Amino acid sequence: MFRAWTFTEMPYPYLPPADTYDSLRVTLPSQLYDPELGHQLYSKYFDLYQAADGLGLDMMLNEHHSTATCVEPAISVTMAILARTTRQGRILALGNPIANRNTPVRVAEEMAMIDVISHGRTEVGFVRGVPYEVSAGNVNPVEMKERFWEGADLIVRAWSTTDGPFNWEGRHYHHRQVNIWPRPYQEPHPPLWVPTQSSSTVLETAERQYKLGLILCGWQGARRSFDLYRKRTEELGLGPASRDKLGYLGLVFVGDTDEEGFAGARKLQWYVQNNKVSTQFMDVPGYIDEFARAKMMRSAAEGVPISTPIEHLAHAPIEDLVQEGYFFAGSPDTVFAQLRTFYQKVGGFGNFMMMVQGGTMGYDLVEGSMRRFAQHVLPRFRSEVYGADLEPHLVAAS
Amino acid sequence: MTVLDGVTTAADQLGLECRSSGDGPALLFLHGESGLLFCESALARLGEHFSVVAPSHPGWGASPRRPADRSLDDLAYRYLDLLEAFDEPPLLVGASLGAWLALEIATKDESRIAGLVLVAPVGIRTGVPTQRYYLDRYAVPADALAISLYGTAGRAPNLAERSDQDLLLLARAQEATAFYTWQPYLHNPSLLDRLHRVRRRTLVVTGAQDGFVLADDHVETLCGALGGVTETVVFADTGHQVEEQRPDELADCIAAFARQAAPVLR
Repeated sequence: MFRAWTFTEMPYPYLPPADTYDSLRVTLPSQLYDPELGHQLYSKYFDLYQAADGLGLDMMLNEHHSTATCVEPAISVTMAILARTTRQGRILALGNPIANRNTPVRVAEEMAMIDVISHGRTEVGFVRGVPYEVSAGNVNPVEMKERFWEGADLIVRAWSTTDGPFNWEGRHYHHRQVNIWPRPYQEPHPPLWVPTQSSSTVLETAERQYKLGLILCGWQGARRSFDLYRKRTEELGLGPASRDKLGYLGLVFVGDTDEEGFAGARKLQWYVQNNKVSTQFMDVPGYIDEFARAKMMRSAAEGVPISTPIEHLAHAPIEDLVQEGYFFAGSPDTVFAQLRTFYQKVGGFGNFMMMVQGGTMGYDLVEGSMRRFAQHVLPRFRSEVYGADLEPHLVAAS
Repeated sequence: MTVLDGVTTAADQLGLECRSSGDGPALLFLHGESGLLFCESALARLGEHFSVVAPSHPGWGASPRRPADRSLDDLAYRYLDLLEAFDEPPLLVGASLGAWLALEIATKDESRIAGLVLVAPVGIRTGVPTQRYYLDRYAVPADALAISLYGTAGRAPNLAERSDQDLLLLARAQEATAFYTWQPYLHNPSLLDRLHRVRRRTLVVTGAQDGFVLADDHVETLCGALGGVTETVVFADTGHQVEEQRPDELADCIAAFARQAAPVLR
């Protein structure tokens, strides 16, 4: 079944002017955070998730550290709350930054506990983490990828081993008595995800047959990565890659009219317009390979600013961003058509993650958008597009 | 040159890129965070006094980092192997991270070391947890880091004038530095308690404008912990990168130290 996952980064939007601080990440003093406002924000965000659950949508959460853009530093806490306060939607962690946390067995325990509490509604993503959070976690940025996969393998082993302790003495993690309680509700474990933009990680994700989550890379980027995943799956002799293995995250606002939808989308753009990060936290040795860093050094030495896709998302007209597959905005009919076009352009996919809230967008505004999507877009899409597509989804056309 | 050839062969066997030059008593130069990239002048000037052997540590230059190379402690054992190839114990000279490495080596076995020169050394730490002992090089803007290392940003190497290959070597050096020094940051918590084992005569050279080492009593702490005679030299108008900024004076200073201490060193 085609799934639509609602998502907010739980931002703290009451920020001073951007020219008064160096970075929204890592160094922004927490005295700028008002806990009373924070309490009200958490109430709103959890209410929105609860509303999404009531509308038949699934729920996605993530984790970031030392930032106002996503005041959600412990994904297991937010998931645990939703496990108790929601009833039917699936709860996706996208993801646990296991290379930053350095406690894979603890992550296995937390996710298993949440899976039991939620009655098997948990899906677990593992994310390598963003460069500016190696500071927050004080984790070595070198060998991060190896640490990430060793951590993931250890977690899966911890979930899957039910006959008593096992030993794990790897390069990065050492545990001589791994025996977690509880074990997950789902057997052998919850569905697994990896969100990434990296081609090599897409291939590794396909090799493990985890679900692939692509974040704001437009339809062209999604097509490229989905094709890589499909091709690798076929090369491994695993048959056609199922559509439910593929997910894409876009910014979504559904209004009663196109005008209202685009107005809501402009409010959502807050997320990409408020992302100031000091250069030193972006350019961490070891996080990217030496060849890419040498090119960045050349650009910096010659005074060429580092360009990121975020800048395009922050400043381009919404109409362009809709065409490119970053935003989905307009009336229900319009958003349906956009989603159908996106589906066709990327060769099919089974999970649509929707960032539905950004900045100061209030409950009523966001709930209305979710309701219109859940009632007028999702059922029609499932019936007319996803359900009607009988292609085998073996390998996408080049 | 027999000595140098022997050492170069030994370095090859250890998988280390190694530069050899000059003539005179043996000197093993252990580079700092940037590798040998900005050390050309210092190595040339040292070569006027010494037979200089300058390897790239595992992870820097063309020296690969093996899976077993995980700490400065590991690297110290590799250099103990290299030291066995010298016909005569060399003067061991290290800069910054290289000075830390020199101390790791000397605490394990100083029998094959004639003496020590520590240039802007790191590797130890004292103080309460909230005290920053060394600047967090990963948390400051590039200009601020340059000022801390060179006294003023204008003295830092102009990377725009460097080749693509040099920038690749610098990127590799920065990655290796992060790998070995991330946590504990730039020090070995056990090293200070081991320093009494170092009884070889030691020269500590620092720059008066070093803004990278933040602890005011760093040199006093270090010298107080060492087990032998120590001398200190401070270059005015110089930052942390002494070997880059004062290659002539540094080479002369090391040569004078070697001459004065010759009876002890030999």
